[in-house]
Amino acid sequence: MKQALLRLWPKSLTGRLFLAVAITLLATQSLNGVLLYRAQNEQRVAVVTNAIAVRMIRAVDRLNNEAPRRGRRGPDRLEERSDEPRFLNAPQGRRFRDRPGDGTRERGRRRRGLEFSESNPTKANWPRLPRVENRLSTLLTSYDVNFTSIIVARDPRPQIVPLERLSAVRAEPTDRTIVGAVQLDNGNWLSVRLPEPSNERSVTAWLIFQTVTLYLILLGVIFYITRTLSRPLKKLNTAMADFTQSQQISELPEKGPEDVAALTRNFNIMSQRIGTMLDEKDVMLGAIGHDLKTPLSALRVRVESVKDDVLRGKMIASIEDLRQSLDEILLLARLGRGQEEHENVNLGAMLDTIVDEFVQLDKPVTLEPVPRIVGRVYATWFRRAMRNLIANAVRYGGAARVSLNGDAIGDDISICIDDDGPGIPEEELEKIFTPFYRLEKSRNSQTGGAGLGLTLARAIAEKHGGTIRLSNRYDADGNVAGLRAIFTFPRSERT
Amino acid sequence: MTDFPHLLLVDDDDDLRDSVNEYLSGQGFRVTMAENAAMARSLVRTQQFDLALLDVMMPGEDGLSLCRFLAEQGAMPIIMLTARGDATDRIIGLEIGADDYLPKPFAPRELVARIKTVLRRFTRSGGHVDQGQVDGYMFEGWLLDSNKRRLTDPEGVNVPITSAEYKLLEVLAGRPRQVMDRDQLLDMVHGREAQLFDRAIDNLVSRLRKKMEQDARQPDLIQTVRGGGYMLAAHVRVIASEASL
Repeated sequence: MKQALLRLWPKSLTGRLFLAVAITLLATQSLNGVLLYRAQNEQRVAVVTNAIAVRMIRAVDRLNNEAPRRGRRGPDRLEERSDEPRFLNAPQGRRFRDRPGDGTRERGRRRRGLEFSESNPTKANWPRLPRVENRLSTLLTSYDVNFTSIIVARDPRPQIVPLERLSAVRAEPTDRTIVGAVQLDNGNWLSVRLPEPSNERSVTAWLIFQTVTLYLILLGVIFYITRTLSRPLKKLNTAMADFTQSQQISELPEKGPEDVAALTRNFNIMSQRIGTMLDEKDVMLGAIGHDLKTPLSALRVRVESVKDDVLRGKMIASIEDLRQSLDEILLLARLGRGQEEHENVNLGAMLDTIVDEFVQLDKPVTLEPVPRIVGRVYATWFRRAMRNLIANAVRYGGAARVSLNGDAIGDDISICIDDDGPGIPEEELEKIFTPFYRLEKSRNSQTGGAGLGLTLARAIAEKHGGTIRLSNRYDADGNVAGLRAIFTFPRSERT
Repeated sequence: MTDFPHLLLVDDDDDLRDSVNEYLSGQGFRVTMAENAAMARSLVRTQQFDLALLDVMMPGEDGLSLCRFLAEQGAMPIIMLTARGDATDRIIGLEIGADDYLPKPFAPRELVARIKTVLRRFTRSGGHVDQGQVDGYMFEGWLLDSNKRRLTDPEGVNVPITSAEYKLLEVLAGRPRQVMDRDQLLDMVHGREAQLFDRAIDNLVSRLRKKMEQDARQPDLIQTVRGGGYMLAAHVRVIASEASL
């Protein structure tokens, strides 16, 4: 559940911004909708109350005017007594005198939905409208209409015919009617039927329309804003990635909103400064290399004049160690300066030439036959890493067996170098990549290099987007049979 | 050695100049030293040299610039000495006309061997070594770049080869469809003083086949000719240097 929610959480700036706006808008519109709905409800109550009140007040008015004539006639249902001329021809207040004649009054009453009855015209199970009842009660009291009880309820039954006609008169047709009934002093009920004003569906539709329109406008605006925001950001991001990858410094145009432009400007300044520093470092390293290697060369030449063979051999070995350390330090420091181009290289052929270098020096290094595997590498660096790994295997493990693996469809290419040495204690497998780290005596008897060989090799693997893993190999009896180094990198480097 | 080869050594480090001078003099060379490019230029005007040893990094005019100048004159082969271990300097050096390249610190014997090889090649070809005139060879989609000493396959993929393999292929490509016997090849690849056993060439050929042929047992490119010899069975287009540097 949480996972699913996390997945839905948008990652990009645009997505998040849009989600925030969408939620805000939804909340606002919901609040809006509730308020609107309540206002509408209030209005409907008022309309219904007023409609009922007006009809009742008029009817009571009329009734009071007729009262002497009606006398004790008792309850009458006007509809049924429409044939009673006396009642119908009774004198009326001026206001109510439309035209003389029986049918007119009757139709008038019907049209207004007025009804007199002896008993309660509403049923107990009809839903009542207490708010309307309250208001109506207040209203009627204020117009001096005397009543003993009041009921306003909704008639849930299907419409009856007269109401059809009635409803046709009303602007808003509806299939439900509201019946307002009061029991007058005389115990008779006066009721008014009127169609319930329909729920204004258009309000909901209007709200939805409004929301969608707002969404669309905001979407456009957000899209525009984030585009101006995210394009420079994306460029900045790419430039930074390039810089990290190859230390290629590219000056970016300072575009977009002020803050983003400022960010770009500062990035430009920073990368310029770092570039200058790196250039200075290169110059310095070149100078150091030159200044140390030249006297070393002189020393190396002079050593030839040493007569004692053993002494000369030792001196030469020391100088060679010094040279190697110097090379590794300089290389490690220079690594990452993208002066070199990637190129497609036949890795089998490359390993073959490297292994051949060792074979020429009578070192026990073998290469398993390999199919043609092409990898995209920085050739000089890659060669260096392979040399270091193989040299380590020979130095500490006595021999090296090199194999190259890369499935035709697989993403990774791996070079595996096995030796037959004592391996490395498990807890040191990772530490050994630390610069200048040396193992305990067992593997430390020989000299060679500054302890940078593996550091450099791993740095080179990382430059290729890959890595180097070391592991001990065990024989059938569970004894360490040697060390295995695996250099793995992606076939096509991710950018 | 009746005639001592005359070497020009250009390096700004006194100690290095002295030590190399002492060693090479002991090996039968006559060495004249210069501590900067300007001095070297004036020496070249007045004296005849058989070979120049140039340091790349020098105050003032650097070794690469001096190398370009000397290569244009074409009077002597050049070996560059450099403190930088990477290949960039090597490629630049070879491209602007150096004949060989040696990283510092070098083993003195290695230096002597290189000097002798370059001298021999230079006197034999009567001028700059082959690579000065030929930029490379193309055959069956393969490209052998003489400047970068690099082999690329028909798909443009770099196929690393050792320098011995390179030399053999260069010899074969320089004489397409000509049968070369093992002695000739051995001589041209390893030089006269090479103490190599007979199988060396066969070995190199089989290594090259492994890298270049579809099926190393049924070679199309480098064919064995009955009677003991090899040839490159392909049409070779020579890429000549345009307006050599």
